[in-house]
Amino acid sequence: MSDALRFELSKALVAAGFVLYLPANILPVMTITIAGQVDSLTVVGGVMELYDGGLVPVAAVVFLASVLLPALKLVLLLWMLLLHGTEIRRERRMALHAFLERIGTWAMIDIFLLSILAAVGQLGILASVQAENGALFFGAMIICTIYAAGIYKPYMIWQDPTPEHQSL
Amino acid sequence: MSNENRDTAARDHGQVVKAHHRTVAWVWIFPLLAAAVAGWLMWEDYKSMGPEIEITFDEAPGIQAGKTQLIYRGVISGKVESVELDDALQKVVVRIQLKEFAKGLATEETDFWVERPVITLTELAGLESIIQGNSIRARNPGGEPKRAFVGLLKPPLLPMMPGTFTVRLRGAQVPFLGPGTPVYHKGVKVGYVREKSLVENSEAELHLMIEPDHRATLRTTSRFWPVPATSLTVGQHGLKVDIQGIDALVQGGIAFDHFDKEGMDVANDALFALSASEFGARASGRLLTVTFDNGRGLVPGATTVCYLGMPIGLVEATEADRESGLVRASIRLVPSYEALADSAAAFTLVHPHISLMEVSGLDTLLTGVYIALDPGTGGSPSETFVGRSASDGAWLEKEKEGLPFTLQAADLPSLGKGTPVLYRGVSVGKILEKSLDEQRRPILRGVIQTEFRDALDANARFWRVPATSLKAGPGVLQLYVDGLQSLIQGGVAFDVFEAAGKTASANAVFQLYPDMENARAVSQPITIQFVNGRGIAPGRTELRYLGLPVGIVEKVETSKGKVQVTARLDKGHDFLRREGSLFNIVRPNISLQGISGLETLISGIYIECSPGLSTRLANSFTGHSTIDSEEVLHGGLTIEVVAEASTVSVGASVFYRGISVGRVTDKSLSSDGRKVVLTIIIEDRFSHLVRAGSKFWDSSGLTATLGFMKLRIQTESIMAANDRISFATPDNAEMGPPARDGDSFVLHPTSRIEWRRWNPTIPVEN
Repeated sequence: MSDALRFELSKALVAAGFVLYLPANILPVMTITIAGQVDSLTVVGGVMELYDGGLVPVAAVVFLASVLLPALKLVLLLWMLLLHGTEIRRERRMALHAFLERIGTWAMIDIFLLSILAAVGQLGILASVQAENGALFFGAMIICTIYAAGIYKPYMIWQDPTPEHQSL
Repeated sequence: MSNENRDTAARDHGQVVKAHHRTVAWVWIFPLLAAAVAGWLMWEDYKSMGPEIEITFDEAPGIQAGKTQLIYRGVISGKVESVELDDALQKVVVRIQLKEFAKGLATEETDFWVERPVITLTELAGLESIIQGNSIRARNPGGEPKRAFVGLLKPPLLPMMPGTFTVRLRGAQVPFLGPGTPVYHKGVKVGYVREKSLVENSEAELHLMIEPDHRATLRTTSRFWPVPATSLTVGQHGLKVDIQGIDALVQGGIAFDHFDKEGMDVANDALFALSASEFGARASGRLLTVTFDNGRGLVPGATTVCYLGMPIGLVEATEADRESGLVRASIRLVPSYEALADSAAAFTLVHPHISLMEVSGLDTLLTGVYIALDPGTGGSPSETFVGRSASDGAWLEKEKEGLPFTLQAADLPSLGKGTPVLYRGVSVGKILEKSLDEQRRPILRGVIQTEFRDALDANARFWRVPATSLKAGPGVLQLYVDGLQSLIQGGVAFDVFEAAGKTASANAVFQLYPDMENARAVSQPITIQFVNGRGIAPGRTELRYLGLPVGIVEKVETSKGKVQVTARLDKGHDFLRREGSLFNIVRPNISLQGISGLETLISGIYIECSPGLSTRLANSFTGHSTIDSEEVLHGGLTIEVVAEASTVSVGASVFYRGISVGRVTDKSLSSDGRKVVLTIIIEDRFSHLVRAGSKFWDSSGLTATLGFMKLRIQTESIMAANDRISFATPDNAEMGPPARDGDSFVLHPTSRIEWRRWNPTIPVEN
């Protein structure tokens, strides 16, 4: 895969991430039915539910991993890709890239929780948990950001701007 | 790669650009795809949203924004978006986002209510609300689209589906039938009571919902009646608890039927009347009016009209008419019996009638009074009747047919209307009336049934049959109960004791005697004078001949210092009226010498008669009073015993060798006053024992001999402790001739030893 392709693919994935971010946060990620009472939760709604339920630390972790982190990642990736080929803050971009690589999978904690809940929380009429479309979008968005960060190799930060590129 | 690029770049730049361009293009398919999927999903989501509606409730307990669902026919059809109070804080405004498929609910006829659990004895509803929380329910959509609604105050108990068929029922009162009460037709549940309300003139109205499937069971001729939750029937057949079914156990129900009287289909919302009971519903004939003098016991809706004992109708209403002073009862008959009520029919109000003589209408004690219908013949259809009461004279008219008669008596205790008239034990008539005649004497008017009228002879004698009599006589103790019915009331009996005459004419007057003995005594009265009339009771004291009753004392009065007893003798005993007949009062006598006349203790004293020898009859006699009539009448040897003084009293026994052979009947002083004269009667069979040489001594008392170391008390017998006379007759050589009446003997104070050793052989003389 050429560097140009990598760059383009990365940009496309980030763009797709932004597109997916909207339904991922608007649509409910899961439906909890407890004793006949149906509750559809979005990601933010889930955080609120946890917070209302008094689980502040869990709410904080989920909020960080599921709401803040994906958004941050998208924004930082966009910033990094926009500065591609320039010489601006190359060291900082390197550090950022390493950070994005490391935290990339953490955002999947929400999907992980959901899959466990959906698997365990099947108690017939009494209670059931079901994944909704929002989770699909959310997962897709996270995958987009992970791959966007993965495809864009750190050495590409150091590549010359356009003239050099064009010479290739 | 870089080398190749470098070469290409050196030769041709355009190619590179082209290839680069193409690479870039397919990469962007990812965001496009994502956007397309997201967009499609969002569109789908949007599309599933129906209109938003606004419902106003008085209160909305348990309604949560974002959670509470709108449910229609059990399907989630929307969700509450917001719950707010209106500006005046009077109402709750609930906004609901309907689903697309449920947009039809946003129409003007839809009812909305808050469903919450209802748990009562008769109802268990909205159970799922306990688990799921309250919800908003909708039903019955239809009409023009609309966005703002007013919610119902309370859940309608029964979902009214389109096409539901309702009828209205009105009745004076609707007992304990609330919404939800089942409606039955021949035991099948075909509907419910939807609503219970009061309408004008404060009649209760029930709205019934009949299931469309069963609509055809309701005809215009249908009659409705309430089925009591649990009925307890107490009747002649015992106690019956009737429970219509578990669901009707508590709430009862309503039933209807048209009783095979075909009608037409019923229009929706038709009006019916609610009958008081099933039987009331059955009795659906035309309205008849019967007037009664007295409506005691008539209960509207409960009093039945019976024909041959079968209930065929019901009193619907009673009303006292002030002008005519009558009670007017509105009656309906079961249609199949309606033809009976023509102008010839008679309606009789039957009350329980209990006279120990007769018990009638006893069933009415339990069932209440009823009206008996006696159909007549040849009447024309009529709607108004004059009823009568079973105790009316008119009702007795039938029984009056027969031979009437009148009875007179000094007093008539315990006899009254209904008392039977007996002839030789057969009830041949009845006393109909008890009243006073012109002289204020009580009279009884009775009637002899036609078939027995020959039994009443002009010479018949009537007497009262006591309810219960206790007869005691010599060797007789008889408790006489003349049948249960006369146990308490008694009756009147008659018989002919004289020669039978001709049959009595109508309204003949007879004397009523207190008892049969009085009635029997048909002879001319005889009068007997006694010194002392103690114990003689008119109408009770009998005259007896040889111990058999032959007459009765009719009257006792005093006359010239004597008691004058008027008596009558039974037929065939006129010989006792001969001149010289003896009449003696027999009284009980209990003494140590003996007990006599004991039966008179129970039966009362009587007068023993003994016919005279003369052939002439007399009407007046002088009676005697004796202790024991037997000895006087069959008296044997009468002798006198003379003593200086004697403690022996009248009645003392006379003994011969320890056997009582006679009695002292009189004790008097001799004419010169120096001696005591005891008159002794020796029984006939023993009279030969007394000879001229017989010795009499006073053997009264105890003989006590105080000897050495012992006290000997000698007495003839315990009974003879006081009064007794003994005699002994010497051995054959000295006995002398037999004693004769009037012979006199000396009473020795003690006996001598040799007297006791006498042991003569005394022949019986003839």
